[in-house]
Amino acid sequence: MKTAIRWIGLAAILMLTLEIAARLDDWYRYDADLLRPYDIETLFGPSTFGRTGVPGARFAKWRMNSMGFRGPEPVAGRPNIITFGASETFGMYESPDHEYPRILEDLLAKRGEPVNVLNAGIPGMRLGTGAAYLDDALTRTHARTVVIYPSPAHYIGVKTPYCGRPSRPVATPHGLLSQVRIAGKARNLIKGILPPGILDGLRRMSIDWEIRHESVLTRIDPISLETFRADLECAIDAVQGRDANAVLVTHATAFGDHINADDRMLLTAWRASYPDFAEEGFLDLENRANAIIRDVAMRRGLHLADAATGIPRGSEYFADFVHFTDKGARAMATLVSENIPGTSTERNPPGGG
Amino acid sequence: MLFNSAEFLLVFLPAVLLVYFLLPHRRQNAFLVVASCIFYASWDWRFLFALLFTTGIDFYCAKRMEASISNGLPQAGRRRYLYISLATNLGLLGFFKYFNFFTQSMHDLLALFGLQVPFETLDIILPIGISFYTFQALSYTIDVYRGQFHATRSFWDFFLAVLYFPHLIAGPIQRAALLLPQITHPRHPTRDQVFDGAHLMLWGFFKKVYIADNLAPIVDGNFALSSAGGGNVALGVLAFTFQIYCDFSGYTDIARGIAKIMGFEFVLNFRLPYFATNPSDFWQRWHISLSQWLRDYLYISLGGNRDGAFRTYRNLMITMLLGGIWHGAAWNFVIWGFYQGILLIGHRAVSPALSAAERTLRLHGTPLSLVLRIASMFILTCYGWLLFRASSLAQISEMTVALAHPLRGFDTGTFQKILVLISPLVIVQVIQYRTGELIFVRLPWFKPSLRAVFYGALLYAMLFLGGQPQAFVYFQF
Repeated sequence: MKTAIRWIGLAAILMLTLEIAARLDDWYRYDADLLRPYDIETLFGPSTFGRTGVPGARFAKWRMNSMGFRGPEPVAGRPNIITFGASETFGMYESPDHEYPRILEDLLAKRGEPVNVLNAGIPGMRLGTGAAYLDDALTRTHARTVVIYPSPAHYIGVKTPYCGRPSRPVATPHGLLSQVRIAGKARNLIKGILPPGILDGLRRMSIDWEIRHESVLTRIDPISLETFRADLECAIDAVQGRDANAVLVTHATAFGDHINADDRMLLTAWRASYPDFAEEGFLDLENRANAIIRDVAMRRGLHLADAATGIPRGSEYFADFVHFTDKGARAMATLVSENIPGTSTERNPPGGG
Repeated sequence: MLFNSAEFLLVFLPAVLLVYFLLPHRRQNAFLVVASCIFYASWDWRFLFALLFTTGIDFYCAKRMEASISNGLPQAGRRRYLYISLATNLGLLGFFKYFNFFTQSMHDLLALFGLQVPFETLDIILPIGISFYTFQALSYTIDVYRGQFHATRSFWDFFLAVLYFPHLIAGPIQRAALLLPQITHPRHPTRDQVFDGAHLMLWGFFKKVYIADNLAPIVDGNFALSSAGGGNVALGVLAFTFQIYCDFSGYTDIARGIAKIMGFEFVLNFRLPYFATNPSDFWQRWHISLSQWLRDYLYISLGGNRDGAFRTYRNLMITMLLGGIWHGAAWNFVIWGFYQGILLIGHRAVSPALSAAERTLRLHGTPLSLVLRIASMFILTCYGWLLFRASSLAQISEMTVALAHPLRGFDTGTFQKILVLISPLVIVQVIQYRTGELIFVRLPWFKPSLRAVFYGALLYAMLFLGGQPQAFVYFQF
């Protein structure tokens, strides 16, 4: 008994040392607060629009400016462009300042159009919930152009549009991983070093556990797609309501227009976020959602950047199933820059609208 | 499968240890043969056949030599089998490692005399660990030939002695005479052995992952500069001095740790080499298993120091030249071996005069004398690493010339980074040096709670502050 207590005590000292080391490391490297929670959720907080960026917040490589957008402070006197979307827009895996909005700003500057590209992407944001936030952002920034890059997968299982629903502040979930910093670091480490086969096996087990009492959808419900369409229209209305141009971008994935045998693990990783949606349904969802984006763009006469066909598939461009590598972000920015209206003069989209 | 890979640490090693402790002794050995084959085959399974072939020849030769000794036949009768073993092992090593080097060098030499002889280099893949396992196997046949060790009756025991995965790729070079008895007798690892083994593994990983892998980009960057200033060279060499030590001694510690946990005792390979006070002392502290092998099987066979100063110097030079080329088929390794030979000869020649001077200045045996000796030897060692790491003779020459201006290109930021990285090692080694206890956590003042803090900090640095994973430097040899 005495020995057991002694070992438990030593294990506790070891864990405490690891936790203190983690906090000191964050403090030294990122100037993080030693005592408060510190994870990616630090960047976001509850607001009247649900959950938005916290002005001036920092976490690891991510920095929010004084307006609560990711990136540097906008330069006064320049026109503003907003990029609106979820984690793909916000930027997850790219090197600092290599997320697509930053590169887009560089490309436009090189083209002789110095603008501020404001990254209003928020991980997990749906088009409909973000419409009010977008409206507010347009009011604050007087942006003349908004690039909308939707994430169709967020509409899996959704039956009613989010647009128009009253929004309420969403508390930032600071779980165990942010309270005990070593736990979060250990999780990332394990994800990074586990052999892909083992990680895949664990994901499959987790999916099987999650769906043990549920039926699995093999194809996106048409109602969910209509919901997606309604929210997309709603976001465009918000943009046009503020007399700005909307640029739509189809959704690109690491799979492109077909799924190879090698893509199975990647698909499982995607499915881990949507356990009750079968792997075979994702490509169909992407194709149908992109058809809606193209259709809406054509019908409303909006500029369209077809990322789904314009960005090559594969790990060179995608760090996972949908998030860009530096190269992917550059391809995305190039594509958008080629399809964006002139920032200084053009106010009306081609073909009216 | 590298020791620092997830496959090894999360799958292979836990599985091997689990099964190993569930099996009785003889089956443990059989299991270790299988596990070691899997470990080696994870690089290239085809080279297992080369290993099987040479160990088969060595086993047969040793058996014949043993029979010859038992029958009281003269040494000449068994010499033939020694030659077969030497020819097979060195022949394969020579072909895989040195064929292209010698062909190219011969071609260059003839070209100097205006002779253009057409030649072709072969696209040869070097079997990993060949330099190490060749020496291990040869120690067995030579010891049996000399009558210093009895040949084993079991081929698989011998095969395991050569193939045992912790030391197969980069040593320490375990002599069969030391390892075979541990294979044939049951092993019962004690609690202390398991703790010491775990400690060695952790400390080894720390040296490799935190220090060596973080120093690697500094070394690569400074050695890749096309026109490096003396400061760049000095920083690159300083970083490499610690990179190669932490990389190689880290590997050895991990290997010794794994073996200890399984109840095997490996020879010590490093004993605080940068605290050496002279070249001879250095070689008793650095890669001890190789220097002892070279001493016992080469230097002494050449006559050692038995026939006067000139022959001693000649034997030292031959031994160090061959020791240099053992590391790799390139001229910089030959030059490094030559340099080490010169240091050993020079030290032997001037040692009496140095001692006399110290006595005259009343420095003999003082702390100042010790510090001066250690510092001088450290600088000489560092220059040796420049020769070792350089990729061409031209680079050696350029970097040596650049050292005449040691402040040109000296970056204090890089220097501080190196100091931060090596400071835990230096602190620990000063403690080890002053107390003489290499497993420093055994020191009485190192209470269990302090050990928990120490291992916690070590684990954090290894897991979260390590550099980009690099292959072990000595794997190329």
